[in-house]
Amino acid sequence: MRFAIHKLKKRAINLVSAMSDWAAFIGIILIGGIGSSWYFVSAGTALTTQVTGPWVMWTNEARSDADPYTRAHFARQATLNLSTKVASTFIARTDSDGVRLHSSCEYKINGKDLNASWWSLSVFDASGHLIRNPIDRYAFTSDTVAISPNNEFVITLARSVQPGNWLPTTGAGRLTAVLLVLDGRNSSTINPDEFQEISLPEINKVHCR
Amino acid sequence: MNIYMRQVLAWIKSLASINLHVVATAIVSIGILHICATLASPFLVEKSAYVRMKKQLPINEMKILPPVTPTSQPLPFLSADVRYAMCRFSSTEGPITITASLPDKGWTLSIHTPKGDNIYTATGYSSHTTLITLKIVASSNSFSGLTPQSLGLSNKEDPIQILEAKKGFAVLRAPDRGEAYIRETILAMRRAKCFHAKQ
Repeated sequence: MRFAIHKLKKRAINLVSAMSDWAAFIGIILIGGIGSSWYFVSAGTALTTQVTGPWVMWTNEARSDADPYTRAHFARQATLNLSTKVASTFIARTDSDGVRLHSSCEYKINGKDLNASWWSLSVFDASGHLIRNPIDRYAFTSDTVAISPNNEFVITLARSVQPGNWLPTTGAGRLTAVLLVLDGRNSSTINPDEFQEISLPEINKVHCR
Repeated sequence: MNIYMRQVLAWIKSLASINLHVVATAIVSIGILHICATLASPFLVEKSAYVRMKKQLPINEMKILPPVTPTSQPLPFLSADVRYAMCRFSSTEGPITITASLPDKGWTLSIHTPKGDNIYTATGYSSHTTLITLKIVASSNSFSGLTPQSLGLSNKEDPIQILEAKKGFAVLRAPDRGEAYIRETILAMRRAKCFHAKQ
């Protein structure tokens, strides 16, 4: 009887050991396959994105010939973006020092008037929702931003009222700044490399509360 | 032999005990799963932009959306710097004609497929108004009507561009320059049409 129990125990241990090996093997494959896909689609790679300071641009955004990572990224976001043939959408989730943008801090976005027919700079929360504020201001465009005589502009992201170009960020938590740069020329004549020549604004932290 | 060398040798010996077939199988399986997950990702999205906007937009009709605010933001990252007019089209029962005029810089007309691909975009210029006429057909092989020339008429209008798409969105974006300009902007947006070509 004792021997039979011992034999049964041994068999059970062997079975559990074999199953745990398989479980570990399948786990590694699932984590490796799905995890790497998730990361490549969410964060992008050097093959799919162009990074300039804090600004990230998906180089094949909204194009019919986009790579599967770009296609999956924007399908997951459920956004209606303009193709990179006519526009560039730059997204910043960090400041120029690489620290996550947060509504508890105040930031100055310093830039020169961009060499484009039209541009806009909007601020959202981390999920892409507009931030409620009493003055209903969510973006500045090349039409509405106040530019200094030397063709430079400063946009302030802050919770409390600021002079000049102020974008309120009250209580939003993590922030996302989106810069849309539109080229007014015919799409077939645009060289995508030209967008790289745009001097993108810097995002500098002033202070945090 | 120092302790580090022994550790390195022990590590190399432990590597030799790894079954290379298992490692190769794992790497190939991870690769296959990575590709499948990436390709399947757009189809696994619960609510695409098309699905989210479907209920709000009548079919084959250009609708000017209310200003985008935190309480009326239909899609994530949809900026409030422009006013939107959208048309959800379906060309399965015949070609769809979309007309729009882009009076100034910042104005754009774009056509998106349900997957979000931007198959056509036109941008406005500050120097002149751009008039656009698009004909959207379900298949490029289908008959989309006689050309003015074949009807014996002179073609004085801007050339009609033909696009192939069964379903999708036409999105007209008009920069919101503030209260003083909103009437003018809305009037220009109302000129945009989206209709069944038979009408």
